[in-house]
Amino acid sequence: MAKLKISIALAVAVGQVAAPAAAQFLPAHRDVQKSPPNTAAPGATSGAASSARVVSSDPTNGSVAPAASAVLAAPPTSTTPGAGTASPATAPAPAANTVVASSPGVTQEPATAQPSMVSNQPEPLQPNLLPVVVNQAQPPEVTEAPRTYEHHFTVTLDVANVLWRTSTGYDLFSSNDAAWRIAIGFGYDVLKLPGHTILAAEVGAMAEPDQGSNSNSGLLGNTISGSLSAATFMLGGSLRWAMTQWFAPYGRLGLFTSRYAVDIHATASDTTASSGVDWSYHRWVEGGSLGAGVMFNLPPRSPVNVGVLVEGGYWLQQSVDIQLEGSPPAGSISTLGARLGSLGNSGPYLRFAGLLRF
Amino acid sequence: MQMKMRLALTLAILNACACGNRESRLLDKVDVKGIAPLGGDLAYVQSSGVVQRLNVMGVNPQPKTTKISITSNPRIVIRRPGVEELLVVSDGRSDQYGQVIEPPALTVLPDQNSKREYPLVDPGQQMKLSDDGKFAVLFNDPSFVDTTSLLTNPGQVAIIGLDKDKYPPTDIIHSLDTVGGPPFAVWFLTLNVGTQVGRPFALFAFPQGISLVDLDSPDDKEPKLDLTSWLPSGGMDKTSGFGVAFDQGSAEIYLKNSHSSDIKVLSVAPGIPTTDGGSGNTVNISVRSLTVSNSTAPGAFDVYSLASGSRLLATVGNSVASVTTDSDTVTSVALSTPANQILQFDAKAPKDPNSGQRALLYQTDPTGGSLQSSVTFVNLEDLEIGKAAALETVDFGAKISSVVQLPNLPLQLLVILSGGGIDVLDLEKRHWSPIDSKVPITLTAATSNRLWVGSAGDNRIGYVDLSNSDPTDPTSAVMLTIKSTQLDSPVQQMFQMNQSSNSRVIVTHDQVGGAVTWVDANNPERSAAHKLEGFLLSDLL
Repeated sequence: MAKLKISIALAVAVGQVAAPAAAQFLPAHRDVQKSPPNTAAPGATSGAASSARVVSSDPTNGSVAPAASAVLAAPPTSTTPGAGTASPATAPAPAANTVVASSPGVTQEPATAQPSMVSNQPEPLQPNLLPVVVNQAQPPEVTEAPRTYEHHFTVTLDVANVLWRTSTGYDLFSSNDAAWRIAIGFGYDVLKLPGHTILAAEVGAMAEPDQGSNSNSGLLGNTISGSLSAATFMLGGSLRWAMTQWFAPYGRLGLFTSRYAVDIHATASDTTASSGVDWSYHRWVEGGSLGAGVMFNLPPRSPVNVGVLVEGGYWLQQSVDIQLEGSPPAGSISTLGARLGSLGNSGPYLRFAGLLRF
Repeated sequence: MQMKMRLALTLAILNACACGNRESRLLDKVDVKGIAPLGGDLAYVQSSGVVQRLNVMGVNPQPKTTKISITSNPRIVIRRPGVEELLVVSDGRSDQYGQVIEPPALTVLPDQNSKREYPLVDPGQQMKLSDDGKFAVLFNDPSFVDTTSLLTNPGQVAIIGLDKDKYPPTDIIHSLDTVGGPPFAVWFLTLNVGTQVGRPFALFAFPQGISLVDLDSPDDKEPKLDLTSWLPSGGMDKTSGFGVAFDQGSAEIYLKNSHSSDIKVLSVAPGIPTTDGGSGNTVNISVRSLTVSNSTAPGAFDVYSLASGSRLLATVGNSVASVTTDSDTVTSVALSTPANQILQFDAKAPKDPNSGQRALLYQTDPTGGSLQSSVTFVNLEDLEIGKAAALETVDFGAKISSVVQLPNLPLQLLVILSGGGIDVLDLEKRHWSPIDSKVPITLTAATSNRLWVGSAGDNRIGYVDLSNSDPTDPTSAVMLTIKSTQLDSPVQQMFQMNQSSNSRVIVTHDQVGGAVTWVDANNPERSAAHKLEGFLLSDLL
């Protein structure tokens, strides 16, 4: 008997702890089945809820039901002798996963989970409410697996994206070889392959802001300067291996087209000469990139997840001719400008991006 | 603070990764020292020692150049007369300690992409070319300041025979036996010394005298002449009005200066070899004086020949003098307009249906201070007898800046007026046709019968065309045509170039990277013109 009492007390205690935890982990849209209002059964004493029910989580979501799913009704506010209603004060609390069978003639009422009102004081069993305790194997230690979300979409924003242009042609526009760019990308996981491998399709846009040398750049004795800007539109795909929920190395292949806008300005050679001359034009150039990187993100415990990625690779793109070419006014003498050289666009790149997955 | 330091460190690392500084060749300014036609190309000579040749006579315009390297720091760029070659005098370069890295040199660029270089001893020398383009003499330029070498020998000159088949490129440096100082000027003469064949000579002028170098044997000892008593007390220099004229047939040289009314006559005779086997003077010089005026030094002078002997024509103040060189007889006639230039020609005159020797006297002045609006025609054959009747003055009503003769029409003189405009002067009829221009004409390029004109800094070029009404008859009436073409950029220089059937006017513009407009000389319309730009930067990057 003493053993039974201890068992009941333990069940009540676990129920007190587990009930709020269950409410916390369950998503709002998949709540615990709401109990109907506490209505007295016909013939029963008002307010004398003396039955319990099994409460479980929605089986469809696959979550583990809270351990303390059976609770006793709250103690009655008044007692009517002879009503055959068990006083809660005297009703023993069933253990977890305990099925509490009501006595015949006693309507089983749904009870609202009110663990705070559950007394854990051992009370003598009511003669008309004999609990039947089915001893079941205790579940393992309370190790609820947190909810995991499966994200299909990825948005990346490049915090740092640099392409190394080592061609001499870039010297017209920059004093070093690094071309800094900004980019945004959008990806969708289109195919799950065996071994946690995911194939994603991606689109993106990239801008290379005005890279320009000013008139004091030192080029040709400060007589010439140039500025370069580019806009790139990309299509690509990546193959990602989700090693863990938070770490995934990947390879990436992209195809893109870029619009390069080139402006070249020549200053007046001396004060007696005509004013400076400007040339301006643009070119569309196609290319491809091949890269590899790693993606880190927080464990997917929420609908929207954040992370970062680091990627390096090679940017392969046609060169752009640097031409003294402009748009002279109508009626001008037919003019041909020299080709100064070419702007080589191929080179290694490195990007560091923040990402959102949802 | 820690955050800032991390950010700075990150930026420093990123900057270190962004390596690749600009190449030094991209930092130097394209400094063009001279532009000249060469074959069918326009050669741009740069201070770096690079000569870029832009083909301007091809069928299709292409803004690409071919390059050839020469000695750096070119200072003089001259087209060789009569031959498609370009002569470039370069000073070379030294390091900061005066160690010569590149010696100075004269580079000859032929039409092909090759070169001949003649090493020079000292940088900063001036060059004088003979009219026929066969000889170049480089000699001391007192205005040049040599910052690298403490000591130089100003008497050392380079005498270069430019005909590569006749003169070897060695033994070109000669030390002159100077007279009172380094030479300040040189003249090229051709004299029939002892034979009827002309021999080339170079006459060097020193502060106190002259020397005469036989260019065919420059190693021979040159005869020199001390003229101290005839010269001003301080000796001669470029401002002394020293002038040279010569008579090839009689092998006589005439010297003048602005401080003496006398003209020195040098008679050149074959030298007498020394008996000890040494190389004596190849020629001997004897001197005599001609008195042109009692007090006034001659301005311009020239030699002409009459049946009775050689004459010296000289302007002396406001008069013109004819001097019989044998007897020193002077015939002087007053001029209504002073003149410092003499242009001789053979032509008829309005009152003389026979062709005869005549001269046009006019005044030029680089400073513009003493320009005149009139010119004087002189009938040389009648001057001694007719005196004033042999003179005729033509007034243009505007000051004359310069005159240009067209190769195919020597009797049509284009008189450039300093205030703008051109007068076409018919030397035979002695009348002129005015062509107005609101800007001063500073650039000219003459073809057979057309003079292209322009004004530096102005967008327009134009031409004055003088054609015989009957092209087959050079004596037929001359038709005058003018036309202007507006370009898109201000004119810097202008060249008239011909190759096979193509005839083009090439106009350069002062623009970074170079710019030229080529105009079809036979169809000078904008629609037929082409502009090329940036060719000096071609394939730079």
